[in-house]
Amino acid sequence: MIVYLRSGGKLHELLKPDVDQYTRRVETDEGATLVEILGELGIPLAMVAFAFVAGKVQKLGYVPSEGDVITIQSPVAGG
Amino acid sequence: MTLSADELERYSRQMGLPDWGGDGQERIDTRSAPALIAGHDIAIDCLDTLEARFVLNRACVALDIPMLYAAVGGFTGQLSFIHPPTTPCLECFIPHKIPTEKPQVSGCTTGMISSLEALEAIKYLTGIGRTLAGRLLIVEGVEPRFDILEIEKDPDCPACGSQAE
Repeated sequence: MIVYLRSGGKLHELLKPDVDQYTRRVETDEGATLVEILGELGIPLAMVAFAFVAGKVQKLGYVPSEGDVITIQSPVAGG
Repeated sequence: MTLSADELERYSRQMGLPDWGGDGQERIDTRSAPALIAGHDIAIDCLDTLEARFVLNRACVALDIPMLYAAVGGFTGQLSFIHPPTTPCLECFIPHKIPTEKPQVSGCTTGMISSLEALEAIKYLTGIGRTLAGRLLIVEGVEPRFDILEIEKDPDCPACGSQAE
């Protein structure tokens, strides 16, 4: 199954985009959670606060579907 | 452009925050937060750590006071109007235990998000327009990209869910 991970924030370097400047194509097993996918890519979970898919915020237990574009968001704390 | 020592000192002085203990300053923690917001119509988050925001979030949930969540990191900004049980609370979508580094923020991102935050407050207080209730605005300044996302209540949220502590 193919999904697309994207990030424009500070996760950008860890993500190693290959589709465009912000997006990486990832081949993964059906039923894999976002936590498992991030683990395979070596992205520390502590650096990801949540994700969003198709305009909806999702937690890291989210199970992606074929073709999902998943934007991962690092925590932001400043103000 | 390189700043001279004199310019650096001048700018640093202008940017520096006053020491703690000045008029109107109060540290926010689980003890002080309820008293700081009690009796007010809205709490406007201008805090600089997630931990302080979680404290404010819980106080707002307990006292049924709406909270504007606004945070920035680098060129990224987030903004939402929070007022459970009508909307999710902060802990419904950001895990409470997530660690954060000392943020580096760009002034222009902070200026943009804080202006939008002020607009949200004005809309709520005057009853005009539509707030970001149940929605989260994310600004990625580098792309640039603006997303307005739906956020859902977490029934197991430790702050506002059925298992609330």
